[in-house]
Amino acid sequence: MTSMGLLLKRTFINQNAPLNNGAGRFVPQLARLTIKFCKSHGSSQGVRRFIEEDIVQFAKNNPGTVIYLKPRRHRSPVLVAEYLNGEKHHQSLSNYGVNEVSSYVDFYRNQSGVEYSDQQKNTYSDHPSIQGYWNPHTHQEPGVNFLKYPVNKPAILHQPSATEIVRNAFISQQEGNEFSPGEEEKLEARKQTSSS
Amino acid sequence: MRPLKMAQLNLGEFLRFNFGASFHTSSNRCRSHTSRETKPVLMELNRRRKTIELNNKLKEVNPMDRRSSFLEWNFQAELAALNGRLGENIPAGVLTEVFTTEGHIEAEREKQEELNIDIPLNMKSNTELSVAGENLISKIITNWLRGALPALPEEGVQAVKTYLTSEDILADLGFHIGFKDLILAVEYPPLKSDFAKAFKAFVGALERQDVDRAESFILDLVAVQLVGKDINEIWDIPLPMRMLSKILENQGKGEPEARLIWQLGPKTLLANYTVGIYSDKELIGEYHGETLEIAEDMAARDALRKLFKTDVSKVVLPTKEKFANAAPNPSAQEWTGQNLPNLIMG
Repeated sequence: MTSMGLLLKRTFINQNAPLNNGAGRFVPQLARLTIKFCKSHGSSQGVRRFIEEDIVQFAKNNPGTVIYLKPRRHRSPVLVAEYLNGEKHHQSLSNYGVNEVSSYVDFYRNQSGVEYSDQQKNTYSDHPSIQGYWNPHTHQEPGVNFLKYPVNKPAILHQPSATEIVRNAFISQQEGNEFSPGEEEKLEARKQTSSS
Repeated sequence: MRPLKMAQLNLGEFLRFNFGASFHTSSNRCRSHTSRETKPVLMELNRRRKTIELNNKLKEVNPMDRRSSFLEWNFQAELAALNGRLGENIPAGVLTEVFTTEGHIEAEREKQEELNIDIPLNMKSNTELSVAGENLISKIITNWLRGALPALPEEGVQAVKTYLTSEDILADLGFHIGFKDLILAVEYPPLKSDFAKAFKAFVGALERQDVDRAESFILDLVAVQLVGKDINEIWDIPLPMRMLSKILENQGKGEPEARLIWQLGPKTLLANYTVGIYSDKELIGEYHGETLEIAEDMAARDALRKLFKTDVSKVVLPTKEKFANAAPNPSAQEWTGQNLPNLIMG
């Protein structure tokens, strides 16, 4: 069991967007990004390269996020992402390459800040039934209310039983009913005669 | 490792989660299998959290420092980010006015008195802007509700409008836009009323610039809070049968007649009666209830839902449409359901 195991929650997808975000306009949820790094130590190399190459473009693409850079001597690099719902998520960037740093920055950009939860269904509806749930009266005839039992009513879908099939066949044979075309020939072919 | 918020944990809540030994999710999770060690761990975590909270309370230590007291804080950059987040372009001076509370101005004056300085404070509080914003929000939401729900009587429109413009909703909106660290107030985090006032002031500032943009803003953020909500929970009709009789009388139709349609287990604890409301021998509403009185009440509400078209599964809200000023919807006393525009659900 991982350390998350005890506190893992299970929610539905309707908890993901705060306050119907996206139903009107979409408000990007990442408010602030603070990158703490060292100017000389090797573990911050990826972060330093990210700052030199990619961060300005990232800032231009995300006008709703403030980026703070904190160069601190002898400290390992850390990313702190603060979201509009007040949550702070921190991520170590120690010994990460520039691609990894860039991926993690993008990962935190796309989150909503809501605590990680297990979501087993990818659909949710407040009104799963449009026509109404089945209840015992859904397909009942209203006239059922006025019945006085016992009722002499044959079953609606009456299939002949095996006995009835054989009996009907015997009676029809007795009455000498004509065969349908082709059936007499078939019967002749199937009859077991000594001269076959 | 992301820090996890230590929420109140109790065994009842905990038992709803599945903490089997494996993490593999499957659709048939065994609910009752929890490790024996889980409960004592949770109890210990809760106990420790409570001692820390009590310690903070007794020593009057607020462990939440203001974000603006951090070294990495740039107020102008934060205001620019607010504009970028919402796609608006309000100048920084106006935004500072939006976020200045009266409490903050008073606190500044007191500080100056203490230090015996007399510098003229160039600060204006957000009261004026918030009043303008409140009026605009009220107007736009009412117009939108009247246009989006033309079959709803005016009492319903006013009830929904009161809900959408309530302090709770506006404060929540303000919080989720990022006002928590921008509002200049005495308390931190700011009070709910501060959030709501700042939100209204923001709308007022937008209105000053461009009324159309302000209208879009209100529809995109406030009106959209109605999506997924049940109007019948927001507007509670006190006496549905009485309202229904009045409406049928206005429409010139027959009196409502309640009839028992189905019943299950009539003299038991789990009785269920289905009552239908008939007018001129036509079924207009049907619902079930535990007793005959409840079933009749629910059936009358069902009939009203069908008339006012507030059935949850059928409401379609035009959140992108702007509706111009219109006359109030007919009140429930005079409602006839005539001259309704062509609604999607018909």
